[in-house]
Amino acid sequence: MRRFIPSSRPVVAVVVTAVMLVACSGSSRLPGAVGSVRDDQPAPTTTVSPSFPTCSDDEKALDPTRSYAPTETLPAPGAMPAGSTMAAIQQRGRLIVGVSGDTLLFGSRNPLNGKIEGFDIDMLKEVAKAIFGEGGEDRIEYRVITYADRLPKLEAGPDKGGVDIVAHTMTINCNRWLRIAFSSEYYSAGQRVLVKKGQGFESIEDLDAAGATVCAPEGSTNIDEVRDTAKYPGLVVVGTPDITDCLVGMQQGEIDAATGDDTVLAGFAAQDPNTEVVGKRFTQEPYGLGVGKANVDFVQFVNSVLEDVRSSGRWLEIYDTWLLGPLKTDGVVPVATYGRQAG
Amino acid sequence: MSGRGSPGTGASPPGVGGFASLARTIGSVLTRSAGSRLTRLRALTAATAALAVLFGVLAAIGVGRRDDAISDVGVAAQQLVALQAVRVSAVRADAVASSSYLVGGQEDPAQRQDYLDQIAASSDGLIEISNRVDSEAAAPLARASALLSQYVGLVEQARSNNRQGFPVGAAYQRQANTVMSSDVDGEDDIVDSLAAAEAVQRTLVNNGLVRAHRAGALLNLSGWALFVLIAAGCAWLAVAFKRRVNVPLIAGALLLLVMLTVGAGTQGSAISSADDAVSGSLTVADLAGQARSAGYDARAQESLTLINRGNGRANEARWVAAAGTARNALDRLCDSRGEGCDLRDGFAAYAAAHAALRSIDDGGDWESAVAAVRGAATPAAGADVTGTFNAFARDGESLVAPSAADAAAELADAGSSLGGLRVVVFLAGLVIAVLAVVGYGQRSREYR
Repeated sequence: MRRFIPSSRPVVAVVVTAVMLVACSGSSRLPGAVGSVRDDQPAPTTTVSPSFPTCSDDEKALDPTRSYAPTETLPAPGAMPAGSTMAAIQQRGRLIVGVSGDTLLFGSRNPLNGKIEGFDIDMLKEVAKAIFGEGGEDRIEYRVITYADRLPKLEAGPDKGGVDIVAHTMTINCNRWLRIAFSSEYYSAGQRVLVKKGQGFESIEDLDAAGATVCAPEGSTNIDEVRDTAKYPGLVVVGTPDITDCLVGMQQGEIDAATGDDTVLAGFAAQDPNTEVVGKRFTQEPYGLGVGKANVDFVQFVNSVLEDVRSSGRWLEIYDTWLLGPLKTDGVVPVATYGRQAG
Repeated sequence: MSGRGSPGTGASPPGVGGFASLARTIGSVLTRSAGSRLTRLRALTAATAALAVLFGVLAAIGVGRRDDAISDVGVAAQQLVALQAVRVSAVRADAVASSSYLVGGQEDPAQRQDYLDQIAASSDGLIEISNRVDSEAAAPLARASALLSQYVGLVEQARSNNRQGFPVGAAYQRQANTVMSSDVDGEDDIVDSLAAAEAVQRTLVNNGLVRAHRAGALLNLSGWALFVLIAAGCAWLAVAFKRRVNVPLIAGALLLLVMLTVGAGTQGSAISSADDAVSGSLTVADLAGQARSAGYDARAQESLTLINRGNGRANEARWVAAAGTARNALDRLCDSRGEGCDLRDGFAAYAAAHAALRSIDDGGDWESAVAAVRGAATPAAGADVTGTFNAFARDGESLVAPSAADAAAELADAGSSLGGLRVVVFLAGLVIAVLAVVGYGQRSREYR
């Protein structure tokens, strides 16, 4: 027996080693889910929203629809004055425009042919034809932009991912003049409300009294208006990236009403027969074509084109094509006012 | 019991001398302890037999636990793979719905069928998995299921409006995509819910492996305790009865050593196979599955960028994020596992085509960009996003499916020998108990 234990030492050694390996070895691990940023990459940075200038009371007292006087003689299509903004566009071969893609009647994509069409679009086609001549409408490059992107895209300009001109149911007002320039008024709209039929709301005042939830797009004059608690203390205001999201919210029962320009709301009512536009206009929304602040020559050129559109009857033709049916009222050609001085 | 077995003499591992020394000490205590030899003999017989039975029971329990733990790893791995298949189907449905939206009223019937098939696969998969998982994973699955119903409703609204020419359809399509995969942290979406359920399964896989590793301790501890007691008994018998060899006890000790050796080998092989299955086939299936899912998400964002014509900056940013996830998964797969390198090249080809597509759209040719996304026969130069993506998706599927099947087979095979071992160690414990009774019984009869 004395030899028993020492003679078993090699066997025991093997067994102990094997057992320890099994007992003490670490287990494999299934790695966690993969992220989009590698560990050796810096974390994304956040940006701070800039603040924008606002008009003084004296500036606000002036008529914001005053634009630069139109060019006395419109240059012939395809022969833009050398060094002008229009010559640069002509040389580029395309007019880059910012429009809405989902505002039925003014700027929306027709899913059957993929084309963007509407009142705003036809205005831009007139400008393109004046620059490029016949077929100029085919030289438009459309960029669908949100309400909030309208001014930034003009400030950036076409060389930095922006646009030459914006036609996007954009109201002319004093604060916006501090950042961009406007054409003369090409359409007179007004703010109203869209409600579900049978809910008993007939005006913005009814909604205010009921403490209703009202939706409007961020970055619009419409939302600024209803956020004025002195006027509408009872409203619960919800902002969305685009006004179409307001219609979705209404259809899903999340909000009671949408507010916006009556022209836009008419397009909504056409898409959803369970809704209706009610009440009187509680603001005036003069629409202008937006242009880069420094491009005064282009504003003057556009104003000349708009003068032709008004005087030739083309404006009424465009109105009848898009708006006469839904709005059920004859179009009234807006009166242009000028007198703004450059600089 | 000479000094040759003492620690520090010779090349024996440190544990061996310790066991011999412990056995000697116990033998010495037995020699010096009070009471008659017969009493000590009876006590030793009872203790050894009891410990042998205990060894059999504990070793069987330990082996059984390891078997169960490996089995749990297999189940969790299967659930993980099944969840990823659901996620891929859901995200693929979103990619198809988004690109179908671009064609408006001229929807391709094959694309429509593909969308319906993917939604059905997601829905059926969710129901099937929900019936099998525990409550921790069931909560996110219930959320995903509810959101999937909401998603389908939104897509149908988008489709219906789109076919009538109503632009509000685009808003529904955007919202549907947000329900599928939101870029807002903390906002409920289908992809995040499924990812949470997948994370639960990954944790179950890892916890199961840890439990499997630890479960071997019962067999080892009880086995070595019994070995020390038998060795001590042999030493005492040798001193007290002047007999060097007690055949039954030595046979019992040898059987125990065989059990410890076979147990260590079998268990080691089982746990090693499970480790290999997890770090090999399962990791490949997991990473390739994540890459596929992220790829389809990128594809959906590509279409949404065009739907939001000129205003798809946010969607392009989400394309970049999804593509980053796919690239990272494929890098891990190729760099650490040496697999999926072709798949990585395939995704790089798609990403290059996407860059060309963006240039075309940003350059103003939206129609050509849409045609490329719709899979035009002759896409614009370098922008064959549909062809390159389809190739990536096909290759991804042909990597995930066999890897997942291999992982399931390897994990099932890993624990297959443990059931037999459990029975053998239990019986060995009983046999050793009998041998101990017989061995000590011989000396007891001689003493009387």
